[in-house]
Amino acid sequence: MFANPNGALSITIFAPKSVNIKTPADLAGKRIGITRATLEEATVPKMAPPGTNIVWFDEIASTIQALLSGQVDAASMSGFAEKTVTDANPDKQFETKLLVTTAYYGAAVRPGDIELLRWIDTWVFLNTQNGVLADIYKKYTGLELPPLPRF
Amino acid sequence: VNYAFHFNVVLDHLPELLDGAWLTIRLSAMAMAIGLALAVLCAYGKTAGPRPVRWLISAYVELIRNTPFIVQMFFVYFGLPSLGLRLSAMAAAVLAMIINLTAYAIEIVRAGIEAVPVGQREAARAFGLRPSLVFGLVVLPQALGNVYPALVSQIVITMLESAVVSQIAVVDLTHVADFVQSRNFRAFETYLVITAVYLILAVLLRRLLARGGRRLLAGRAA
Repeated sequence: MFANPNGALSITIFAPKSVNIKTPADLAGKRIGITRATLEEATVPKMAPPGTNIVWFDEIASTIQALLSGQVDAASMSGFAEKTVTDANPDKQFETKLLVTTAYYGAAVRPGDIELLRWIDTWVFLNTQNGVLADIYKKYTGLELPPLPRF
Repeated sequence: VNYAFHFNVVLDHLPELLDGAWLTIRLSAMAMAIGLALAVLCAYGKTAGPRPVRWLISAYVELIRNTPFIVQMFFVYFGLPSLGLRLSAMAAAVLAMIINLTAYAIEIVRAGIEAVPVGQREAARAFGLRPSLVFGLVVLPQALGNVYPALVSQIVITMLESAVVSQIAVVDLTHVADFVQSRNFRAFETYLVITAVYLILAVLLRRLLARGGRRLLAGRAA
């Protein structure tokens, strides 16, 4: 059983400012670096139009290195990783081009443990309302917490 | 052992795996053709060239033989763009393989050249052959014959080592296998299949080169 989400992870496509990507259709003819066996691998090929040159790397370090060295025009990874790469390389002027998907994460509890589930849901509700979750998210990821769905 | 094999989930990807194997073959063939030609040239330079040339070739051989192939390849693919030379993944992979194979092959061919008795060279010269013909017609065929098995081994090693080019997004046999096993979570079966494919490729390559060598070197190859 899952509690209501208390955080989110966005997959983005980002590239240097000079690269012209405004809609998914602009991906055609470009080399997009993604890491194998990740959320971006499961989502990016679905949104990419035919003619997109998807370049698969085995680990994220290679994907980042390919972007930095210009071996790919753009890369896709989590918003957290994007921010780390962007902040560490201000000269490259990276910017987010497309939001691919947003995945929400929440706590899992043992099946039948309704009491704990209620407690967590209440905690998440309260701390979403009073902004504590957003502050925590901002503090540790440097990003704004997207609106969280309630189930 | 209580493991149920499921090869059908791997064989579903057979077309991709064959494409990957074909790319591995093409990569190896290009590296072999260019690498061997360069190796013969450099081995000649190392045995008969002027001192700076000999020194330069030695430095190259030492540098490449004492560093890992994957690092050389990363240097070509990720490093050279910083110096303004951006190669595609495929070109970077071929270049790295050529650089690597050439260094090893130079030493092998050089050993072969030095094993040719001096009398052969002297006799050829006494016949009035030009130095280039002495090397090309008399020394080189014997030299290659001397070390042919070692050269074949090195070529096979290069083909097998090409598996690491999957790390720079070249869709070779290993890259396809990595992809397949990340989809079906059947790592054991997937890698077992490509192990068999590599084994077959290596055996065929050895046979092919042994046969080709016998013809090319007119019976001198062991």
